[in-house]
Amino acid sequence: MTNSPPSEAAAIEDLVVALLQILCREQAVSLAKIGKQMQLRRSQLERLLLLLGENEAWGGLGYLTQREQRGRAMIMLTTKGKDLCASMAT
Amino acid sequence: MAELKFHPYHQPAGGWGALRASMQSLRQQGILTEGTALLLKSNQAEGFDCPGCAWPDPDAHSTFEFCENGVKAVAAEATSKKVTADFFAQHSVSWLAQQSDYDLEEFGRLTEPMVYDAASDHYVPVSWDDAFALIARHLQKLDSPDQAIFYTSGRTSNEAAFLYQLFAREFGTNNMPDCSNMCHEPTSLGMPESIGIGKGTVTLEDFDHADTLLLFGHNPGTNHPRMLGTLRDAAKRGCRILVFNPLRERGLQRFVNPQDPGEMLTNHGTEIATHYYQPRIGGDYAIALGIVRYLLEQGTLDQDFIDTHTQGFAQLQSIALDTPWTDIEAESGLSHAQFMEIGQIYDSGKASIITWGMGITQHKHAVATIQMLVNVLLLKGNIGKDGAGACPIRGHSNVQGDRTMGIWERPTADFLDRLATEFDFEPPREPGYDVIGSIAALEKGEAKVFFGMGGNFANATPDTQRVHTALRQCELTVHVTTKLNRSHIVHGKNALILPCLGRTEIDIQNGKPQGITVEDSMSMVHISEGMRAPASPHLKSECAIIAELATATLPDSKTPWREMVQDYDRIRERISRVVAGFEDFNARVHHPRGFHLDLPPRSRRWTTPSGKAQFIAHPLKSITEDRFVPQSSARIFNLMTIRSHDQYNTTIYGYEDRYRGVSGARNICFMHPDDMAELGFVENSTVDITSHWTDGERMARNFRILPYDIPRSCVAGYYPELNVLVPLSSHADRANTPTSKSIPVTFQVAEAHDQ
Repeated sequence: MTNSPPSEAAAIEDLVVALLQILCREQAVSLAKIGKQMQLRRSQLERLLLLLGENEAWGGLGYLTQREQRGRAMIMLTTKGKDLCASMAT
Repeated sequence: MAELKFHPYHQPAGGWGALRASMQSLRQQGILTEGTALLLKSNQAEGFDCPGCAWPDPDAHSTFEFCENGVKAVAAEATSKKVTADFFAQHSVSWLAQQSDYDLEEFGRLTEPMVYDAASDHYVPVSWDDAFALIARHLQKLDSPDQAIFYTSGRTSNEAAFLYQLFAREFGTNNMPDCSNMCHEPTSLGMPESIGIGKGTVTLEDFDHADTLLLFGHNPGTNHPRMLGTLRDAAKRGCRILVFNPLRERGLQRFVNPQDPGEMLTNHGTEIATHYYQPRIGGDYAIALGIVRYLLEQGTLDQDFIDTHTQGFAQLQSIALDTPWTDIEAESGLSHAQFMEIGQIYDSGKASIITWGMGITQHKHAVATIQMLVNVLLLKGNIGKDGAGACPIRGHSNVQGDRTMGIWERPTADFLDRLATEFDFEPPREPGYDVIGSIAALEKGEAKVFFGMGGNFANATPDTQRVHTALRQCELTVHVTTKLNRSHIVHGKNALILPCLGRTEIDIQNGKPQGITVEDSMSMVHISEGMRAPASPHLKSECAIIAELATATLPDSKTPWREMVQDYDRIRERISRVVAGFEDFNARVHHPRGFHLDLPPRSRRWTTPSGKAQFIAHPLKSITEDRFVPQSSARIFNLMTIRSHDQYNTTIYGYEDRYRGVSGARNICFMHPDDMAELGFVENSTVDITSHWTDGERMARNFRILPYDIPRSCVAGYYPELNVLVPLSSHADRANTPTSKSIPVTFQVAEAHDQ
């Protein structure tokens, strides 16, 4: 497996933490809102969601899922994600 | 890796430190797959190119750019609905044929290759290897390579387009029709004769400096919404925006910017058009000629530019001044007073851009009209200076790039020479079939295999019934596609559907995410990497499909197809040696925003035979006198086919044409209220529409009449539904683009029809 150099790895971790912090606080957020809050391009955000999502083929961590709600793309915590948030709060 | 910006939420730190540690652990354990980690590594330089249209992105790194069409295009690809083998097992092709185009699209993403089984009338799964072997068998048994047609849709990336034309030419044919044959071919043919190149001469930044914009025959609100942001900015700083469109389009009148909280809150928006003119359908040549006449009579010409950079002024002057204003008014549908106003505004401008779309190109005299628009620019020196130039608006995200990469049935000798040198083979030199020629060849049985790289040929083409009949005669039809459409239902005796990755999807080759490149309407070339997981593990990229097709079909080819596809930089390396202007392709494109192709007219270099820009003009009578006049007792109207707001070319997203106030139906026809009254129609009257041409009549049944602000004797309705009325042999002179914006029709109350 290819390992990212330390600085890149840290940047990825920062993104992961930032995104999960938002979701832990709000439970469900629109794609647009997260992108604006985190100052990320859509492409960056979508790839991050792939990492944190539930796609078996891509080794996602399974904390988040995407759904459409009244025409908006929403990001929500999975059960695993909620458990993670609960563990962070303790 | 460029610096990222983010705003961490400040929670108690302890828990998050543990998460970081977990992530490190996950990486070390290999839980994070190589692909995922690589994705995030490449996250910064490479953005994502929206497949929605070819309007440039003002900032490839902007945060969360939004445009309604782009959102729809991405959502359509990202749908969770899947068209699986089970779906096809449940639904025969005959059943699919009864579904609407909207429903076919809505069924979802195709997930694996399918082959048509005539015995059961179902598509059944087929392995990729068997699919390629089937195609190879059919191609190899043709009497001539010219019995194959290789069609390209405008979404095909530069890399895929380059490989595709290479394959077709190694196979032995130039039969490369593409969607451009049906849209901007007159631009590609007319502009080089005038100024040496067939592309627009402006950049996005020029729109910041123009003081006058003339917009002819296109509707940005529906077809390229991101342009509205550009127009809004221009309007706000006082640019004069003159719109010429038979239909009064809401998006050109007022635009509320979803990125502007103030405008969103008040819903006031910005007035876009400072002046809105509704000419007769097809009256644009006369409009351009009228502007020229105004300039010659009382305008201020850029004489120094004319003397230094142009030829043919005397002939233009003679033709324009010999044309009576009454003829110009009658043909254009605009009054003399309007011409004085238009002329005064344009003449007083210091830097002007002229834009145009299908309202100019899908007419018989499109080439002449485009050249007359260029004349308007040349008279004021409005090419080769900031804020000025010609801007043909392309609709597909890479239609311009495809042509640059060699998707052209009439390639230049220079291009073929370079291709031959690079790949050590002799390409065919005889021109091949464009779209019209391909359909004729299919009808006569002279073409037996149709391969479509994307698109929806059965619906996009004119004269629908004839095209469907011709496609069904094929020995083999093959479509590389992401979703179901009519072309997969109107298939040959043998048929294949090959599902490919969408533009939004991550393309991993040899363990590495790949980027593809596109060229927008302003000749900016930039790279795009997918951002979502593929809809199915069985999809292949367009490049991979072409490589496997070539490997199966051309066993003796010296081209290292599979090796090139392992890393698309290798394809770009080849492109850099074949396609002029793409030197150092990889170095230049792996850069934020990519690079701008050299456009000689921007520096007033004219790659014409004379070395100068050419004024090209024709007497107005030559434009009007060869017009077909149907022999009918019924009143003749001129029909233009248009897109609704809820579609992208032939892809129907829904039934809401929001800006025109139509909801729930597509079988509609817009007509002036006074014309309705004269014909005895009321709103929602159901009619049959008959088109008239030299080879007879065609009918579209059960359309509802709706009143609209459109000139008398002009009507409009949606394509592709009304393509059935467009005769195959009614096309632009020389360019062969179907005259989809100008069809003589009559109306009658709908007859009762058996269901």
